[in-house]
Amino acid sequence: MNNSNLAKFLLILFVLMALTVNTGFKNNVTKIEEVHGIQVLNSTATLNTKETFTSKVVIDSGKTFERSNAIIRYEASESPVFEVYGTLKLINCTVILSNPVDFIYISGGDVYLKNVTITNLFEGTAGSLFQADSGSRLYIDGFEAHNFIGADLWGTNNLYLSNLNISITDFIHIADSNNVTLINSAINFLYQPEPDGSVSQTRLIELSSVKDVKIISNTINIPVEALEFYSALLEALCLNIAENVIVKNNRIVNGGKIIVTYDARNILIANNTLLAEKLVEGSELQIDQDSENITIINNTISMFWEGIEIYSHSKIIVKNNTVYDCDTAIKIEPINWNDVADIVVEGNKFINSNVLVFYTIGVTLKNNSFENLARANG
Amino acid sequence: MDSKNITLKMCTLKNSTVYLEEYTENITIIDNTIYVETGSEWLKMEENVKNVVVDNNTIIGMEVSSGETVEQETPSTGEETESEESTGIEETQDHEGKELPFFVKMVSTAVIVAITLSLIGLKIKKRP
Repeated sequence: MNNSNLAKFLLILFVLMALTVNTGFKNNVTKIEEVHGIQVLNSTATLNTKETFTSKVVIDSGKTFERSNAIIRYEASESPVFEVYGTLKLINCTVILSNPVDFIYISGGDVYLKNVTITNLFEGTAGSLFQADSGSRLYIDGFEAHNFIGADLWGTNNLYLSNLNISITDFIHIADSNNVTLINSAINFLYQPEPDGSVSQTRLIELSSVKDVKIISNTINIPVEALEFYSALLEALCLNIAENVIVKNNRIVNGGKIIVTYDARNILIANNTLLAEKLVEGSELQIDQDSENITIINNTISMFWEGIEIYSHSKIIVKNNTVYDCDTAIKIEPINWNDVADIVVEGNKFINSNVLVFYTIGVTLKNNSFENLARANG
Repeated sequence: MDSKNITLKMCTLKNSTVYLEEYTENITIIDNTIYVETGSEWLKMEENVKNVVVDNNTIIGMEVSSGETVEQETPSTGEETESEESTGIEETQDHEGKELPFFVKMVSTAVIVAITLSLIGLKIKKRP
């Protein structure tokens, strides 16, 4: 190659590089300093954007609002921040709220959140994190928010909640939904005593009319003060009319009903640590009389009034659990006590706890260890 | 328990009491290993308990203070109660082979040795 050709080649190469760099910057350096009351059409920003919204963001059906690496400041007092009929995608974003508002309402839309943090600039409790109507879709992987009321999700199939770190004052309610996953998350209950001192049933996580659910490797924390106040009326994890549910490798602390099933079937409760920090009357893991095909296996359960209470007689397996320091380790008392109970209690360790079998026909307790250390130690 | 057709099988009980309440019936307690403090009962029954089978359980005694195992008894051979008037159950484990206290052993051994030596001494004296 002679000098002339080499110079031409270098010139062409330089022009191509310049075009590539320019195009890239055109896509990435979109800065929106302030936006007033918008209805979003299609909007994308991908690098270090800062935006301020002074009214809610409405994303219409068929439209997409997408932000990556963005700081979104919401200064309005109008709820919610995002009203989604189309698609909302937030990736590596921080949302700063100036007022206690709801975060996202979804109606038939799609929401995708990855590594999103919410910062509250106000005192007290914000609104709801998520509200969803039938046909909505919600996928979250990495989400941190504190001092919110909770979430209320209806008819949200393929719901995926991963790596949440949230603190809520009320509850997470998931209903009429299939294929639900809650994984690797920390969910903390913020106890606020009722001003009038009244006590009513309270649930932290409730799944109603759900099918194909996985609740895996989560930490669910309730302060002991809440357990003392609500006692057995405080349900940490409620499976109500639930089918095909796996509850595995979770740590759940201080539920009055640490896990409770109502009319649930095909439930696996395995490898969980379930504990209370205070022995409170009525606290327990409870299987109600309408539930069936429930397997409780390899769990560690401690400091409950009744570690495991079974009112059902249908296909219940309690196997290889360690239950200690409960008033009663296991209580078997099927409501339909004329039927032969299909209940297997095998390979468990019951330590410093009673075992009660009432009005039951046909239970076998096999290979269990019953040990009263307190008595042995005087 | 107040229940019917309950089986307690191949379990280990330490300082625990199986308590059969009134009107409990058809209870099988077999093949268990039961550690029990000296002087404590591991099985209690109220009145009107029917058809209790207690068989082949291994009962192991434990000292009250330390919980140390000091004595192992042979497995029970089986017992069945069928009377409504039953208020308890005879434990059927064997009580043979109780060891003598150590000082008794020592004294008896010393006596035997003394007598033997005396007899040998007499025999030696009788020789011309």
